[in-house]
Amino acid sequence: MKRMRPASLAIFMLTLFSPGSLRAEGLVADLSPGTISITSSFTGTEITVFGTVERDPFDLLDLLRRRDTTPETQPGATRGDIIVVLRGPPEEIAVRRKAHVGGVIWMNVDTVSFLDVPGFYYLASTRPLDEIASQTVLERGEFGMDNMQLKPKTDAESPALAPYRKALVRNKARQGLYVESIGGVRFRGSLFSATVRIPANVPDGRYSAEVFLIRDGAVVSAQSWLLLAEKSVFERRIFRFAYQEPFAYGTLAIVLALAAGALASVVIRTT
Amino acid sequence: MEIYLPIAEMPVNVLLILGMGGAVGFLSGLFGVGGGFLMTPLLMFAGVPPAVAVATAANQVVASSVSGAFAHYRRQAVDFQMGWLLVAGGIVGSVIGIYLFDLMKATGQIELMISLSYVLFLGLVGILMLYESVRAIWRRQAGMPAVGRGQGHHSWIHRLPLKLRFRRSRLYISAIGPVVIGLSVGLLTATMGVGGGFIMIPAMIYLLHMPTSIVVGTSLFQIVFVTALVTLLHALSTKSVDVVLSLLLVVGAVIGAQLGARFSLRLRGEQLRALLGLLVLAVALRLAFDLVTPPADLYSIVTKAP
Repeated sequence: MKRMRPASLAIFMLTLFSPGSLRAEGLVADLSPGTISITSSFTGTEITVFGTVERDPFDLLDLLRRRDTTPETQPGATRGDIIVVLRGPPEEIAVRRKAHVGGVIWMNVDTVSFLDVPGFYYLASTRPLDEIASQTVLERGEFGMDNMQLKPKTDAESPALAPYRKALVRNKARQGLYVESIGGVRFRGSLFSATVRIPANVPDGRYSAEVFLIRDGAVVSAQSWLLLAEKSVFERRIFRFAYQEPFAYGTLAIVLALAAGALASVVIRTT
Repeated sequence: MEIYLPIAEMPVNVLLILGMGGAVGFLSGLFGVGGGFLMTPLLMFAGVPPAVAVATAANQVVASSVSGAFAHYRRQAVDFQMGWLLVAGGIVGSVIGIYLFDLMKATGQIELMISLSYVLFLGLVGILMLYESVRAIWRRQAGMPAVGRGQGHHSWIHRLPLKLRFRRSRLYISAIGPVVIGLSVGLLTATMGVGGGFIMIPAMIYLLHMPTSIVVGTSLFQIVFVTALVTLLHALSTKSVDVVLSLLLVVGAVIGAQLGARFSLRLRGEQLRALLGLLVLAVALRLAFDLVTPPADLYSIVTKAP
């Protein structure tokens, strides 16, 4: 971050500690569509988050601050920065490590499980995160996939867990389930918008969408929504059937296979 | 055209899956084998989770073996007495197999177990087939008569107790042999998603000395029952039978098998077996290669079922 002038530093402290600060800045945002549907032809979908940052014309401190900084030198300081986060349902994830056993075979030798890991994580921001806020703020707000707090299931916290944590994020990113889109939030005047691309392999469940307005390195306003991601009726029914009535499902699978085999032989004999 | 597989939880191209079913069906029609041992590795190469690949391949084998079993039944080419003993063994084997599968899945070694079993069995069977067929081709070229089956001399199998008379097979042998063969095949069905004909048929011919005319029908009889049971057991314990994937594979396999059967008339038996041997070896080598080469990422993640 660039060095702040004394005046803006004072304001930074003020916004950080004044209890009403989250409402002082008028962040008005919405998203569309409100549900994520995974259909049989699902190849991914998009959610658009849009909104506006309204300023209080009688806010003298704000006027002062705007006079102090010019848009060219510090774009985030005048308008503020926006971070959009979409988070999937919590999962338990086991991270396995392979080793070269006996100098011959590569096999899994270690497992570390993490609890409440977001099944999906998408972050869009106006600028690189380290330019928006300090590492402390980023960690506290869990902004960015490297700042996610991942709790180990049984193991005690130790530095040895670091490679497993990194591997979890790396694997999720490779599957397209953890995405950071720097510059993904675009301003047009005081209007901003971000498009969140959701791939086909996202887990079912509750999603949270959050929009943060960050000014001078602190979160000054935030808004959040709950979203539901569901497989379309057909896939959901099959999935639930398989898990809730496994005996009936297994029997159905056998009957279908027998019928298909018998039908095939009849069709072939007549043609 | 993309479709979402509800249990594998992945989007796939319908034509790709139909094509895979068709290719395996073509080979099974061409060589007269079940094809499960090619289906499971192929599904795994396509990114289907190993547990889903095994359970779904077993389910698909039910469909591909039932019409054959019926055809042999109509020709009275099934020894039911022998068949039921093989099924009894198969039940025990598949229950043990599912238990092992669950255990390996929980400890994170299921991929390793499946790959190792495939490398071992496909490698062994591939080498034997290639050896036998190349020798047959060489003998024919040298103008020597084909080697007859070693019928007549009694092996250790015939000295076991609990002897039974098998009327259809015209045998008087111990019940232990068929039960043990059925058990081993059941183990393979549950852990590898194969029908197991490639082990059962040679065992019935060379160990039990059954007449070759009823060997295929009797093994198909066992395969229908055991793969059906394995489907049910996987549905109950691992919950990894994907009916949508299975039906797509069946459709592809049925069409492919017809084409393969027509094409097979143009090739000689030894040549076919040599080709199949090569194919089986290639799959085994590919799986072995994956086991010994350093993985791109040492770490992998598994999401626990909800």
